[in-house]
Amino acid sequence: MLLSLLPATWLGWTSDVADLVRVPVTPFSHIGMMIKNWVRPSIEPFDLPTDEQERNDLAVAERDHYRQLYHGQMLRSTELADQLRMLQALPESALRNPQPPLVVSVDLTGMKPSDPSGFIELKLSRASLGRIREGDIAIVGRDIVGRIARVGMTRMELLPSTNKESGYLRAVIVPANPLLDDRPPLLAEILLTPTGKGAFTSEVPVNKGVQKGDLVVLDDPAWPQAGIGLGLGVVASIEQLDEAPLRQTITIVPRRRAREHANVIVLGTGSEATP
Amino acid sequence: MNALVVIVATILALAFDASFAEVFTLRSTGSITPQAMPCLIVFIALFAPETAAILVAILLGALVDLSPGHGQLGAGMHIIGPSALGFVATTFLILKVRNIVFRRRILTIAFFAFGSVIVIAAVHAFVLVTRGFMPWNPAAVGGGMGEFVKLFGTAIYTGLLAVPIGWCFLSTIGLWKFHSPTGRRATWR
Repeated sequence: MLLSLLPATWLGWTSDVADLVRVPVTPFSHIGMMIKNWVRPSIEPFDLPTDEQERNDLAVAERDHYRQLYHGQMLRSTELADQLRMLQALPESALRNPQPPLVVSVDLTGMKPSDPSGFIELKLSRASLGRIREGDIAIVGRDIVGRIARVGMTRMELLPSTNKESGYLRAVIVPANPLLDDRPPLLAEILLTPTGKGAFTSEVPVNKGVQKGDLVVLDDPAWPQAGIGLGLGVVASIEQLDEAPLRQTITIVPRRRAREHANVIVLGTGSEATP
Repeated sequence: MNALVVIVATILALAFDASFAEVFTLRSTGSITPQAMPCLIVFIALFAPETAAILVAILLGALVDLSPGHGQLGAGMHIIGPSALGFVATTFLILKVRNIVFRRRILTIAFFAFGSVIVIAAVHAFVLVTRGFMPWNPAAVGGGMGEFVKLFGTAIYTGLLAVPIGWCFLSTIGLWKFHSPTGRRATWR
């Protein structure tokens, strides 16, 4: 009873104890997750099949364009960084260009099935060591499913983005079919509130023309740069606010959830593993 | 009591609750999921010697508190106590009534599994509310009527799961060696 009343700052040791006591359970739990995924596979969203080809062409064109711009800026910033290093007499390692994220596939080993936004336990493999850090983004397909909350001694923990602990998220709403839609490509900038029950809520002005099925993508500078533009969910419902006639409250539901898959992809910001 | 069998059953029950139980989750009704651990604690409380049953309840409850998604405070920290105390309360109640029930009936295990989920949740809520009264902790926030309905759903579902699990336990009761090595008569009938 006394233990359960201690302040959170005195309970840091419990994370290490949990790491240790989970060691014998994790292999069985991992097998359970694989069997679960085989018995009850995740239902893949239809993922906008109507304009997939156009969307891919547009994405490829945009990618090439921005890659050119990126390389141009990279050369320019390297040149400026060299000049600055010389002026400030800094070492060679200073002012390096940002590294692209490392893509690491990680298996799920445990969770609390009755809590749709609860913490998820991930396998800590040798491939992940040093590559994955706390705060890194976990994705499935093009959708964000959460962030790494902790890298422990024997396991990692994933905080789903719909968990209340994630806090507010800045995002933008875009049409689901931009080429077939006469609405602007960016409908509204919103602040998402995780409900803790597997969804987000937000408010948006009525005149923005947001519709059910529109995509919500991350646009939050507090998150790692690699996650900007990745999907958080789709607009599932829109309700008029009686107390504010010019605003609507919207509910956003993730298209994919980590708990419905056997593994997730983590965009690691750590260093490349040494051979 | 055979400690090895208890350890193996505990590991399997923890692994079931943290992974395979998702197969049975009713996603459309608020993720109602059955639990294996209450079935195990009910079985042990029905047949084990009193002291051993209480000790096992504390240990198993602490292990559940340290499982992913249970009582987490962020940064991997866990609150140890809600499930541990809930398991002890359940065990204590079962110990009080186990002499007047048909212990070797699957229905008894199923009924007690249903009740144990309610008792564990009640103790869990009590601990969290008490914790919230402490000036150094944030106040506990409840889930309202929805959570209450979900709790009853979980209890019923766990009671149903206790039927096959209870059958497995009763089929292997010889392996558990519940009879006391020092007493003249067995502690179970």
